[in-house]
Amino acid sequence: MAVYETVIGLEIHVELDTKSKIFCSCSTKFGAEPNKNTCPVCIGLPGVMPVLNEEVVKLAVKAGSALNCKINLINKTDRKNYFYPDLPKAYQISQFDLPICSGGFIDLDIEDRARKIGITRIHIEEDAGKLIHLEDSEYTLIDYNRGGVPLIEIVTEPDMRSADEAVAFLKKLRAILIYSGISDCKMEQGSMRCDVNISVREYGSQELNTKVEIKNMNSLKEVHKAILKEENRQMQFYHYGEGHKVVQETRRWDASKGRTVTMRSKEDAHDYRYFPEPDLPPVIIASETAEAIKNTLPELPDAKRKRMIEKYRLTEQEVDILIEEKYVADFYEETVQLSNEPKEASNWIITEVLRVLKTEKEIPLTTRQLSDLILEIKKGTISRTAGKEVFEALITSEASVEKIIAAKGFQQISAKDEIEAIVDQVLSSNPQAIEDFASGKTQSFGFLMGQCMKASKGKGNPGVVKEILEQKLRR
Amino acid sequence: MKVTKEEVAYIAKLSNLMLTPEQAEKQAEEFSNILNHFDTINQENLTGIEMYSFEDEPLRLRKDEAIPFKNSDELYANTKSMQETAIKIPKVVE
Repeated sequence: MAVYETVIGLEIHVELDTKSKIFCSCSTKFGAEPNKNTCPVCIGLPGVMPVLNEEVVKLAVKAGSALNCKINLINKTDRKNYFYPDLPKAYQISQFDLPICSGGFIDLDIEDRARKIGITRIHIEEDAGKLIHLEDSEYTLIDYNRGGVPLIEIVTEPDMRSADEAVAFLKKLRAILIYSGISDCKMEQGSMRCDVNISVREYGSQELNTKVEIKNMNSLKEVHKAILKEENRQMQFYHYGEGHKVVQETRRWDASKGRTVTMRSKEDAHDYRYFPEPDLPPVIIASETAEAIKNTLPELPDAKRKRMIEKYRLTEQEVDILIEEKYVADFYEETVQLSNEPKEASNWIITEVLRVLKTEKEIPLTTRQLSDLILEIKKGTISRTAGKEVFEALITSEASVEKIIAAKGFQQISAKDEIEAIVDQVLSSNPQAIEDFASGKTQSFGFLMGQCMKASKGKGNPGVVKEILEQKLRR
Repeated sequence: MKVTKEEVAYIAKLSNLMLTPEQAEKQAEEFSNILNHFDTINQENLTGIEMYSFEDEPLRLRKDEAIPFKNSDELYANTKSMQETAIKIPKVVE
């Protein structure tokens, strides 16, 4: 039986993190009342003139630099014509033959295999408006707030071979763009959207078979599912000698049904009739400007990963978890700076903070609170178990760690005389256990230890209790 | 360069335009004339001329500042149907 491989290329639209739109001064803020952020330019009234936002050029050059692209110092805008109500001008200002960046790559490390995924190009363009299709209604509502929001479209080479690789690529891309302040890349809000081009061929073949484009996945999980489903659909055709049934088309991912459905086939594939945008001059960037923008790039995930492994002596797995989200990595480094406890900070964040983040949107405590908590445990003021309870309290309180420990009465008893009194009392009421221990039954030590901790209401410092108990029994 | 009536019909379809056969014929002729004019321009010898030299007119960019449009009440004054602030149109589903 033939062995098949999947060939995947991606087109990713990312909303740039600007205050105003690409060609007018309307706000780009998400969630405003419909059509609130619109003006004659972005709703395409006749006679208006677009003026390019300088921040868009800056962020696109920044993205190109972060993704190892060549910056095209001379590039230009073009009109992409199509007729649909989300596009009031009936053309989208985009870039066609001279995009702002071309020819980059991202290095991936998948199960210790190095993979280089090529980036064909990055171009700038305006977003379209949003159509709201109400169920059981004969109307569609239009909101042009998103129309004119600046986007970059990143097009990759068909270099990915599996759903895992595609998702790994998207994760890395997302991290790089967030780290560099280019976009917030929120897939669920649509500030990062991904179309997948997918085809299947016999393993070892260099030919590219007919590809299908899939759209409408609003999370990485859905991207993964949609690719698995589509590659399977195509493989079935090739497997039964019906490869001709794979037709070039756009399919929409239906998350609720877990399958792709035809959206439009090649017959009515769009003929966009691109032509140069006559209302805008070519974008000419001075090489010094491009260089200066490149120099504003912060530390990117790969460099951060390497540095954190070396500096904090963490494992690769730990660092990978910590740097996946920039704000978590920043939180970690600040906590370490305050506490000087890299290992403990990593443990607390990976087990406790990330657990809370599954349901919360923001980290619910401050770096000061977490570092104080780590230090109080280290000093022995509270036990590790009590520490977890203090952590829970910190989530809902802005109080200092010290106050919470005092309020809950969690201070460990470390004073030797206090503990000695407790141990004495336990020993006098358990003569049998002492005898057992003397006759060699070592497990009775555990029993006595437990009794002492119980008598101290869990507050005895276990190290001190153990030490004193041992001394007394061996006497 | 000759533009055929079929090409005009195709472009009209993409643009959601209805043309009568007479109009299509007229458009085909006008399009042909425009393209012929470009052919003439194309014969110009451009060797040694820098295509993208705009030194006299440096690129004008806009500062990234959000300024709300003031006359927003009138913006949708001619819109036929609204539901609150959203534009209401007959159902379109791709």
